[in-house]
Amino acid sequence: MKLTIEREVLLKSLAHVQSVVERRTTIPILSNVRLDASDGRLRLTATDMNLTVAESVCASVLQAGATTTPAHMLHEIVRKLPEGGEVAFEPTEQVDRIVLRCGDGIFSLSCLPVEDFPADFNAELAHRFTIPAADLRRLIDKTRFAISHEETRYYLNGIYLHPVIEPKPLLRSVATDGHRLAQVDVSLPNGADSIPGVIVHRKAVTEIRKLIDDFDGEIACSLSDTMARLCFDSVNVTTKLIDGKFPDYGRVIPAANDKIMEFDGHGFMNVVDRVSTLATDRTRSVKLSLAPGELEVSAISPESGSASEKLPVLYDSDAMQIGFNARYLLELAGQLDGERISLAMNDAASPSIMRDPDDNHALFVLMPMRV
Amino acid sequence: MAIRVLPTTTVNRIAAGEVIERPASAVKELVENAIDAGARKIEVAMNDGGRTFIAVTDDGYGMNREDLSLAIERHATSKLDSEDLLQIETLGFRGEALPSIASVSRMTVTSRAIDSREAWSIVVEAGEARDTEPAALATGTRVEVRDLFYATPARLKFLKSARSEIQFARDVVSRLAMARSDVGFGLISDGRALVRLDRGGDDMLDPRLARLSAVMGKDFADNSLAIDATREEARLTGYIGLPTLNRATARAQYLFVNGRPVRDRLLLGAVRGAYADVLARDRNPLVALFLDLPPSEVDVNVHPTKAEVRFRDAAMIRALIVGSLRRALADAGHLASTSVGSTMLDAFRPHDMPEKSGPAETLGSMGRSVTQPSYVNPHPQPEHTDAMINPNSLGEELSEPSARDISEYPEANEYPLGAARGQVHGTYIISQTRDGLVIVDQHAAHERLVYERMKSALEQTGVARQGLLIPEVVELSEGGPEHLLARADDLAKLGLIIEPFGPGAVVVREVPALLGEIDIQGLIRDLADDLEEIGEAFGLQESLFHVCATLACHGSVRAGRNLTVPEMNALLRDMETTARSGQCNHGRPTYVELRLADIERLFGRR
Amino acid sequence: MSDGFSRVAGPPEPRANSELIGHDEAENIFLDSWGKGRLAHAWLITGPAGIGKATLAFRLARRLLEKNAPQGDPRSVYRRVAAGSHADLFTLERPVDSQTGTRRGEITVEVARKVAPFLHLTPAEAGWRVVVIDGAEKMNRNAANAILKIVEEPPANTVILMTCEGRHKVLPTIRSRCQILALRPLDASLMSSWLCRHRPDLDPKQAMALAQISAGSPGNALRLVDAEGLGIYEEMLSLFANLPCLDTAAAHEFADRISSSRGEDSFRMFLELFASWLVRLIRVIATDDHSVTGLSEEDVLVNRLAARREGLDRWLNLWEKAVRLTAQTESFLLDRKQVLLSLFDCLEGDDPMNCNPNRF
Repeated sequence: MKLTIEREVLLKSLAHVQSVVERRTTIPILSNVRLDASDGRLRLTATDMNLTVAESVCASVLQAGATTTPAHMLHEIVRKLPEGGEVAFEPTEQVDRIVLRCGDGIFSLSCLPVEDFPADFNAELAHRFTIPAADLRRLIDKTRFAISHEETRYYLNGIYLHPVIEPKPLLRSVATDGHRLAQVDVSLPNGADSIPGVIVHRKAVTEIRKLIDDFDGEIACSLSDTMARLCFDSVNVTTKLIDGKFPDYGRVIPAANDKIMEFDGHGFMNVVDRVSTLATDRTRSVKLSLAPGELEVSAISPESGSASEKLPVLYDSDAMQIGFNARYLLELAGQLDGERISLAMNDAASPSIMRDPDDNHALFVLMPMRV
Repeated sequence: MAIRVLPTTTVNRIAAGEVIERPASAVKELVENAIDAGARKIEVAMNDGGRTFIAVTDDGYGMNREDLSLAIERHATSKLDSEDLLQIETLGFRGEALPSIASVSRMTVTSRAIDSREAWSIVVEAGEARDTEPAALATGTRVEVRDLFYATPARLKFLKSARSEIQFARDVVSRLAMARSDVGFGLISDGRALVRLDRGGDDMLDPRLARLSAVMGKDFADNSLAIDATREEARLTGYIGLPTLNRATARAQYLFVNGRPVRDRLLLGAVRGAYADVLARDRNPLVALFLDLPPSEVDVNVHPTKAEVRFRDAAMIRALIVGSLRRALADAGHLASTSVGSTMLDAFRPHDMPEKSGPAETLGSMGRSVTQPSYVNPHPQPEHTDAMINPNSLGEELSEPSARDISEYPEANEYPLGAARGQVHGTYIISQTRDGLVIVDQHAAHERLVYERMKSALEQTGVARQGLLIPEVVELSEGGPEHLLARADDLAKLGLIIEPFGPGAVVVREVPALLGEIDIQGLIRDLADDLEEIGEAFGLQESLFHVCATLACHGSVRAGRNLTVPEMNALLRDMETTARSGQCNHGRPTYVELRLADIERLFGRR
Repeated sequence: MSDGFSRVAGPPEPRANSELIGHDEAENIFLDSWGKGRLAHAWLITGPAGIGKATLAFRLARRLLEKNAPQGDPRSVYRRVAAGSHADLFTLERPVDSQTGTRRGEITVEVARKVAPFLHLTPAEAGWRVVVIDGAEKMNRNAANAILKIVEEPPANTVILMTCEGRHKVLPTIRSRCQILALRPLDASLMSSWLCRHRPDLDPKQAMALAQISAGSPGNALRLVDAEGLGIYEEMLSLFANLPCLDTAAAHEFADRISSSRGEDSFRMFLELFASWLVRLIRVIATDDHSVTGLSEEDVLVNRLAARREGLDRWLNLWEKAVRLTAQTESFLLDRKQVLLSLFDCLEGDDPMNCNPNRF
């Protein structure tokens, strides 16, 4: 393998792929990034065997070939090379060494054979569609906070992505940790109406989300029961899926919560944040006392004292009290983009629904806390 | 065998006390009687938890007409061959079972003696016996008890739900059945067969092991070691589970003395001691041990319910158990011997944190004071280390300011538990103090902190509960849901809301908010085990705190998690300001301290 | 395709070993049940050290993974299994201590807990997920319990292959859920011809002796060759040739050599050879089986000792002592030479006919 490539192009591409590579692995080849050079392109591939990121970039290939070399080290070296430089890869006499040159710098890097590198997840996946980057960003950003961390319920350790046909065609993502649930819809892309529901695990969600930052166009997706692949122009992400059944979340979303309070989101978050300072333990429980036109947020701690603050709200049902984990309230309210927030409740023991009154395509369910 | 009235002298030597507390105690007495009567098959039937109806039928020797009427008299028994209570070889030695039960119920006893062609029956109501009447029955005895406690309504009030009472009876029958694999047992509740244990026969397995595995689970048969050891006149037999087979509670430890089920502290302690090296301290082995010794060596008369016994030579019994179990475990190749370094370990002393109400006081007094360790090492200390571990002599030396300056770590001087220097094995925090070093078990320490915090929250405001969007269904082994649901109210106070969910399962609706996102399945299983063991014997508060402890354990930093230095220091500071943080919830230390002086001794510098 | 052997001196890593001898029957049991669509989800491969358990496990893993490889290139599956980089294969083994670089004594729960997350993700190549647990007996209690949960409720399309030196060394609850493949010792002629092929420098007589003392385990035989076990064995036999008389001077000289200069390896090797020789001797005495007569120096010695009709106890006690001292020497750092002398002392026994007045 012999080629030259612009340092900036190589660096950006390495930044994309290297974060997948596990820092502490006992299997040497898994620390490496795979480099394939042919036909004027350099393809970089990194994987943790569950998730593979590959990117193809322009390079002047003088001699086609492939090798693998430690990903983090290569990334560090390229990062420290002078800006605007040209990087050259050259073979050496030894099969387990490759030389990187840039200006007067010469780096001899250890290599492992490409045959030992994990296979490309390049099987054809049956379902294909494209989705605007903004839509995918929304599906991820508004749900990922609710992904469960509890490993015994592994089927909740990801985002459940699936099509909804009735009442109108939508692509929906759902995540829950059992205490709260986030459900977000975007319009259903062409060709996605028959895709299987898939659970995308946390690390894949994180890596995909990073790539959306640099990307604005249409993302080409392909799916099967066991794999998902997303193509962002030159970058490909292919991942295993969670092998489990996502619970029937529809049953936990209340349909008849008739005590509806509407308020200014910003003000509400400030009040909750202030008052919950007093609730010192890690649950930070706050009590919402509702009366027509007025909401009082209060907290009490046996050690520290108590706090309360009132704020005006639109509310005309019966007075009631309901407790919540302040952290959950703040996290949920933070997902809403509009100025106004509506909170639909039934009673102090049943799930409440928080949403933006102007956005029918995102809702957040929160179980109250009780003392 | 003839029924005889015990002489008053003998009666007086029996501690007075009610024998019959609940239906299960009646069942126990009657089944023991049946076993003593040489029965090969014993059937127990109960209705409505034994409140309305209990019948125990056996195929033993039976009684003739005279014996039958004598049997109803208080302190009559067929079971004492001599007047000497020191020679108690049969189970129901008190001779008060039948009259006791008869005095609080409507009882019918029907019996046909083995050498007789006719059966007789006698009816007793609230202690008043009618005349015997001819009846029909195969050889053996059938005792029917109706309307137990109808004469003592106060007792009735203390009975629990039918389900719980049946559970008690079932435990009783199972225990008795374990000791006698040569007898078949059956328990029928409201027409449903709950226990069906046939006589051991041509099974390939040892009939006793077959019986044990029928009661304790098949895993036990697969994972147990046979025990057979003799010391002086005492013989210990039975089976013990491999350390890998373990439970959260000691409930599955069955001990029998001369065939009589007991729950004796000495014996349980000996079992724990034998497993101490091979089993995590919060886990309990499964054992079924049968101790046989001459009646003169043991006094079973300590307690009316006969669950505790007193040995003439307790030390010998303990040595027999510990020794033979350890040997068996070692032979099984699971015992890692670590006697090297015991000298070192002896120098490490658990150090009690004085209970303090506030941080200021704590800080002032802890650095220097050397308190007597309250933690008792279950292993005997080698004699030669006495001087080393004598806290008093150490205290004198340490009251002198240390000559060694550790000014390069100035912060170490400021705190009783010192400054964290690092974490080893992902489990222990090593910290340097003014005059030594401290090793903290991070899991135990954090468990204690969470526990104390929960306790204070519980006392002051109640525990906040987080509702679950998706209620979690937990499948439990038989009996588990009953024990949990019986305590549902107590659990609710601790923030755990559970409801029944079909047979063998509960559904969890709310969890203590303090615990965040937790492994609910694991929590509920361990709680079920705990509650099953705690039962009635403990005070309510104690059991609540015990539950607190289990909850705390699940919410604590697991051993194996890497902590940053600030995290470690935060934990140390928390410990200093929390009362009773020097020991974990089971009384074992959360940290040990090694004084510089001890270290210097270890290296021969002193 | 014996890369392993041409590349390195010692036995190849099982995951990279494409050669398996003597276990066609076990392999066929597995393949047959797969062919019939009745593949058990958990297998326990048992047999003595070095016999090829792990080699068989990885071989079976490759068969499963090759079947569904979309590329259908067995060579590629082989390379990735050997490199530990096949996304549908998880290997659980004793973790390497990052400080010392050696394997830890047991399979800890931290590593065992990684199996469940592997099985909670879909297979990458749309086929089997395979877990190889190499040395199932090395799992500590918590690790075994973590694996038990998986074996109790295995996910679909999953095969768990465990290796273990004795089936009774794993939790019975795990064992009872596994199909057992017991690997038999290789017969001596197969072993010696295989040895001659891989170690052309061995003469046939040596190869035969190795086949005998390695208990039918090729891995064991190679280890004996590489650690000069054969030489020690021959020395041991000549030292014992006149038992129960022992040449004191020779014994001292031997003990000096074995226990000092050449380091621990020779010493450990000797104790191992000594114990296994005692086992063979005991077996002959106990079964009265003299069918081995006259084939080798050892047979001559063993038959002569057996013919003396001494109690079995004596040899059993000696064997126990040898095993115990082996363990204690390591843990208590006993003086190696004294350990050897004390064993030789017992070897002579309390025979009144003892021809050596100068006992140790």
